[in-house]
Amino acid sequence: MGGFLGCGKTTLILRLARSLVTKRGLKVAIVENEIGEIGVDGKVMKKYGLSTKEIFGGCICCQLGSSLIETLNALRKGFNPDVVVLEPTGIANPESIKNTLKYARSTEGLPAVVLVDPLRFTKILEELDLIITSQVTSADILAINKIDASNEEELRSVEGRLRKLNKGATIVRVSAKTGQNVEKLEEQIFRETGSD
Amino acid sequence: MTESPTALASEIELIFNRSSKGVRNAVEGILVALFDQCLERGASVVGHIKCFVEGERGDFLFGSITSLTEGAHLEGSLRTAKHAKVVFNIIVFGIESQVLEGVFQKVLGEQSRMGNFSFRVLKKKPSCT
Repeated sequence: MGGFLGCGKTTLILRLARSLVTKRGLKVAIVENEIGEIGVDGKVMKKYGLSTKEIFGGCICCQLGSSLIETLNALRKGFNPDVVVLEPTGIANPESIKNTLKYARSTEGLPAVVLVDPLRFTKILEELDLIITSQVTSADILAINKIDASNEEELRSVEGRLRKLNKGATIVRVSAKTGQNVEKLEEQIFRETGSD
Repeated sequence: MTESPTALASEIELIFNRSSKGVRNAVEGILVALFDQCLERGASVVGHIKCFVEGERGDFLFGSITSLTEGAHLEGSLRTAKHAKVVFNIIVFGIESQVLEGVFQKVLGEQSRMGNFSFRVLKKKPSCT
């Protein structure tokens, strides 16, 4: 579950994970990667009762790939989850993470969901073109978040720009805050993994 | 411009004179002031400023801010506290780590005077990128 800093990844993962546990009865583990060496997101996940592993002090897409594989292997041995949701740092390139995951077991064909904040997308793309373009182009599913706070015109404009950057990805509009369309996103993720 | 972020992570303790309902306001004030000051000091993008607050009884707040227009978003069960541990995580673009460090110190000083609380830094990891 990639996407730039502040796009709502943690909130969306919390909602998805709770749905996977309560509605589908699945064992869910979260892997959190934060740039800083004192994490915030992992503490939040744990407070909400989710099994969470944290990888600190760098980015799993470029510096800490081996830590990711070790973490996934440890999770498999200890907790053996049905689903692992990986939240990378907000500057990570999901394509690099997919390449790293080739070295872990049973990770073939996993979809990269990239979350986008429509309220800040244009400004951030202008300032940080390389980071944002790499995230958008490597997505299998592009989830436009914060639809509760955006108007139709903004959403269409962002959708158009996303479509230009990535013609093949499925685009889903969601609100992690209100829960709108989160079930639709969940179904799409399962469809893309071939498990639904 | 550079696309390398500057990051700061810090754990502090907020100490109120008595069990205060102001912990929520204090944290909200710090988040907004940090965001504002980062822009003021030249940040081109404030990636995120987020925090996790834990009270004496294990109750907590999760706070974040991504724009001044939307303001700070806080959720969790923490209502009152005399002591609260707060982890801050800040990632910005376009300013150096010394500048970010200065902003953090200044904001904590100003907000503690305004909110009538004191603080002490427990852990600090300046830039790690």
